[in-house]
Amino acid sequence: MDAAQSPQQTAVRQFTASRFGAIEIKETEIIKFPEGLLGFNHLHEYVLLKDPKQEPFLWLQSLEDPNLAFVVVSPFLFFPGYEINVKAHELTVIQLEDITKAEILTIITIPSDPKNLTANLRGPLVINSEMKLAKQLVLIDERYNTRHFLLKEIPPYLAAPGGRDVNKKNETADADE
Amino acid sequence: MRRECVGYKMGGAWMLVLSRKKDESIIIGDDVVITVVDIKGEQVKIGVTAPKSVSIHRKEVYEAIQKENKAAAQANLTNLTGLIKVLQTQQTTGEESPAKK
Repeated sequence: MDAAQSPQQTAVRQFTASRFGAIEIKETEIIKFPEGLLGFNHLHEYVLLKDPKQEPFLWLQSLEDPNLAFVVVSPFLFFPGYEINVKAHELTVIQLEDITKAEILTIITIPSDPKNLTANLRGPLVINSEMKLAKQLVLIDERYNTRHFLLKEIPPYLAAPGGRDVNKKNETADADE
Repeated sequence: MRRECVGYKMGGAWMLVLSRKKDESIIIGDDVVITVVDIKGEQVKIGVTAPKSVSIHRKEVYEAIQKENKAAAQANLTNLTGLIKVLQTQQTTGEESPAKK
């Protein structure tokens, strides 16, 4: 996992996640959710774990609960017309003035039949990457609910491996294990 | 605590209960006003005026997101490569997919 790169001069935290084992997290990689996620309001520190083989999905791992990790993905890859309408005051807690500068992720639910995985478009995650502050929004927009099936929305590059062309750095990523 | 009002215990916290008629209001703090706009059978239309900094949502939406977060946290997988493969296969074979809600 990428989060476990060389320590260099930044402070590094050792962490053992139940899914991923021992990982090293740079303090600068830690994302703080001042308000927590809904239902997990007492947990504030997370890290995004990236693995080229699992693109475009990422893992949002709690640093306070080793068992807690969410699969997340950019909603725009699957739902190109996705829009977030938010009031400026909702972003003050993450010190963000312009939402277009934020990284947006949506939490994925993987049911017992993983093919039926869904994205929660009603409660997107907004990350101020510069300040490493994040928040889960509650959208007013009635077009979105908490379970949108992804299966119909596979981005073409995923369906045709080799043609990957996303804003990810890992061009060498190989979808095959 | 306003002792003159009826109270109910709701999920660990006391809930203040007031009777209001159509067009009557209650005020919370200095600047949040809740007005009963209309009553039709079992449905009550409520108007809320509040400062811009106050977010107002239907409680069900909050609860739905809470519930979904908890469901999402249950994923037993540690590696999604298998799932991604399945998705690719599904896509190329054009198998019937669940309707988007």
